[in-house]
Amino acid sequence: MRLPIKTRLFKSFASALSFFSFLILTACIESPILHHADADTVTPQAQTEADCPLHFPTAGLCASITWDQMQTEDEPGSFKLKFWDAKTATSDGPYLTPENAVFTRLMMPSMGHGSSPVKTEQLQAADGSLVAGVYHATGVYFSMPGHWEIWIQLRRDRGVLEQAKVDITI
Amino acid sequence: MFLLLVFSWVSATDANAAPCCSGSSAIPAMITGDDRAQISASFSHATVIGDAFEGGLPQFRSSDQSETTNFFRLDGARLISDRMQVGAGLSLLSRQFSTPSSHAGKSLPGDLILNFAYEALPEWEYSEWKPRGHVFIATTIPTGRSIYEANEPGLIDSTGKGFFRIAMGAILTKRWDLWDASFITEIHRSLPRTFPPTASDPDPLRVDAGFGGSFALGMGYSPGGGNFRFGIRLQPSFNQPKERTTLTGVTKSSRSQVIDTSLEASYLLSDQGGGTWTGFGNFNDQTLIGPAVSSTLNRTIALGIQHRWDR
Repeated sequence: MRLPIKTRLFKSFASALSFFSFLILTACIESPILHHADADTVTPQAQTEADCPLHFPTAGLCASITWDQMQTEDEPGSFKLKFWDAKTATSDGPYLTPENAVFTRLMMPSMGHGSSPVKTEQLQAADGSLVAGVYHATGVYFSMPGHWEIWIQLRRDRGVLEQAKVDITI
Repeated sequence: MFLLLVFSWVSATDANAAPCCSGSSAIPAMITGDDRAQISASFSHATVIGDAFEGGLPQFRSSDQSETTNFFRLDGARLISDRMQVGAGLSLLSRQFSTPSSHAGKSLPGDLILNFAYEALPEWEYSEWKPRGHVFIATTIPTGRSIYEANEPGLIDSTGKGFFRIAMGAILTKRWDLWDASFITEIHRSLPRTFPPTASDPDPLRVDAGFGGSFALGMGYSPGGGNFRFGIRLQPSFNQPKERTTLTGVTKSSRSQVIDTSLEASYLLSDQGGGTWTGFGNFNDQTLIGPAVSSTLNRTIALGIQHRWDR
């Protein structure tokens, strides 16, 4: 004898609810609230090659980033950017000013977006003269934690001559 | 009376606080009951709790830092025939970023949503199993500022998706005595767009955000068939990787995925004079159920009021 429709309906509903509960339980294994890292336990890590961290083969230059200050809760970060001749100099100098304009761009590849503008200017000495081959990047702000790329671009009128990046995990 | 409460939900995914996820839900404002027209006003407060990445553990943010979005939304719908309706929703976002010693905020319009719906499965007579169903098509018009145009620290001046987006979907609802159930599904496609140079990126940028979709399963209960209803809803959302094209080449982001868990409550305030007034509230959490991929994780509280006109 066929069960009344209400009974069949409730049995189907109970089965669906059980299956749904199973899905929830298995999903909880990857629940972010149960499995996550706290901000304090993660420290920023930059990955660079020692001899020529940023290589610009067309311009024949190498460059490196040295952090003045990593981003804190209160302030954006800043770093010094130093360029040298790839064949004749080292990271200790002498430094060489690129012929093209220098631009810094932040990029979060997994999310597909960047961050607020970074100001990149050639460093000025105490007497007001420009320091050869050394730039100061300020306003370096990573809008969220995760893996970021710091792109250093040598630019010309119609766009980018060449660029190189440093990976950093915030 | 119970029937009047069942469909007073608000989509808690409307208020995503994070820079990368600003904008409105793809589920539009719709009449799913026996009403002629409706208008809703709601306020949401969303807090970014953490961030989920592709691979690896999600990271929760420091308690000393706060990133929040207040989301004001007004939406309405009305029948244009016995089974066809049109609707619209507009919003204003106010984003805040606070640390122990600093505070920044920005208020800007969000995206505009226009929609058309058709009652494909009408409920001419009561059925034990047959649901009531609507199909819809919705267009998102990018009146908000996208993340690709934002310049403020923390990108708090991003308030919209940045793309024209077309969504299609269906809503199925069913009521048994004091219980109700719902199923919502939608798929959307964002049209590619070229963004002009900005201070943070001096090259033109073309972004193709691709396809995305979501579905929601919900259940509700009205104790004693009275004025009060509470419910629960689960809503996973997915999006394809975004393709970025600049002068230097093409790159792809990760796919994104997040699951919303919502608790809902509504109360029938008044039922006379040819219409009803309903108050509703919603708590939504993206940290409870995973996995989440390439998305911020938010907690949102929403309150609202809705007026409906009888047919």
